[in-house]
Amino acid sequence: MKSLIFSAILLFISIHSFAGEFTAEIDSLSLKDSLSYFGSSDKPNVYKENTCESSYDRRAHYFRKYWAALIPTQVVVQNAGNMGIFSIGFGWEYGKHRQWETHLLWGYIPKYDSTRGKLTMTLKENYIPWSIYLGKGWAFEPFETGLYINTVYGHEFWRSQPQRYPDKYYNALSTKFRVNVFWGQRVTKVIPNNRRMFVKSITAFYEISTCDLYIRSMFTDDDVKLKDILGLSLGLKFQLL
Amino acid sequence: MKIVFYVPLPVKRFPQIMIKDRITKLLCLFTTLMLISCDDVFDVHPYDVNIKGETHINATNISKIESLCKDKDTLKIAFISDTHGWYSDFKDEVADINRRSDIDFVIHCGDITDTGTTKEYEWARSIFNKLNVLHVALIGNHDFLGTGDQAYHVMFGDNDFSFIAGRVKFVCLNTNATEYDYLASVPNFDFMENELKSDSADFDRTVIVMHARPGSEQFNNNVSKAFNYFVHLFPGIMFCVSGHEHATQADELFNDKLMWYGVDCAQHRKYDIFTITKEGYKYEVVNF
Repeated sequence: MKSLIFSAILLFISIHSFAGEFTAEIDSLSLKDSLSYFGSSDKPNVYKENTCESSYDRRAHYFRKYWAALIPTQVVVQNAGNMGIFSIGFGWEYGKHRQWETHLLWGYIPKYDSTRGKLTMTLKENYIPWSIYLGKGWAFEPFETGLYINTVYGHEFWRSQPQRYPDKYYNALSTKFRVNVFWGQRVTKVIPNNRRMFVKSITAFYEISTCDLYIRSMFTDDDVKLKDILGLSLGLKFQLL
Repeated sequence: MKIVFYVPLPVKRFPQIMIKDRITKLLCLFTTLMLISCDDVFDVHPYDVNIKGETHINATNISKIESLCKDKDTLKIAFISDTHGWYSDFKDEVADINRRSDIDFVIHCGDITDTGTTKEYEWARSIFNKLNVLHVALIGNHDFLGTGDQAYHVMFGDNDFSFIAGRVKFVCLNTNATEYDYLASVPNFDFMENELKSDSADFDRTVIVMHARPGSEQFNNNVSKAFNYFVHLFPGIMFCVSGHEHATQADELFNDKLMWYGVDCAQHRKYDIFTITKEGYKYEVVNF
């Protein structure tokens, strides 16, 4: 539960830190559009007929606009990457060139040799500095990087060391939360307008990632090489809105 | 595994369905790729306990040690401990043991990994495998972290185990009570009692090995004296060996002439060699 709240707060912060650009970019609806879009146009509407916009209309418009910003715009599926064999979730993009993305994913770790399968949740922040349009609806994003925080559910894992240990026994260690870094590349296919059903574009990507524990062991000992700690992850992103 | 996908039939009048078909194909390809993807490049989770390769190492090695050392009068055992995280020191330690030709087997007193991740276990195992002689490993407090104890159970075996080499019984005990919040039978007196009695015809002397010794913050210190009492019940108790403290120790812990030895960590580049003869034993600390 704590982790859920923690993730929600992070998500809130990440969205609101970009809220300015976000709303300017995504929501191009004017107040008038908003009224005609959300209001029922068939029935006579006293506020519509009255061309003067009341402060109530303005508030209602912004209320809708901000809440509309929370509608996920993409669905993501991904494998591995220290978040489970398979993860699925949704996401948002924002920024002037839509170069920022936030994903919220849920993953599943199979049982393997452990006592049971486990669920994980991931909050992922992507940064895609460049997008090269190749023509015919194809685009190539040569570099993508970011961070993600993964939490794994289960009584075996703790956020910080439990009471039973002496002070600073497992210093700065959390078995529950993992901070991962990654970089990768992506290719996007835009689905033409006349062929669109629900998905605007599909992006296939690969990511190379590692987590804090592995980085720590690499810095503790030279014997752990970079290639030992890197993992590959493949994924698909479906842009809905 | 057989995967059956539903692929909608293409109907020419509706180009949307054609696209859906293509998307489905793409999805099929993607899913298949993910399912058959080879495990080595894809990291599922640090605590996934997906152990590939050798498992149940203690049981395998114990049966070999028991048959190799059956009729030996003199045993030379290297005790190493707390190698967690210091892989290059651990490698040097293994190389130093390999340099000696007279070591019979190696006992690792626990803390094989730093955070109990499956990868760390596999890294440690690959270094263990460089040893020319057989080895067994105990579970340390660090090995419990996350799903580490489950990984230990698969890779090495039970937390409490024993074996007989020559006519000496080595009783290896899990003493990491703090890791269970003192709720488990740690140290396991039932196991100790059973070990007192079982195979009593095959051994005359006993050595007790553990990760954390009485008095440490991992030990259930409420039962320290009871533990010592039980230790003394073992036939011909010689000495006790532990790790955990990252220091070379040699004390009479309870002032009763029973010696308790502490093995230093790999980072301090020290380990202990015990030579057990018919008359007694010799103890030396090796700097490598």
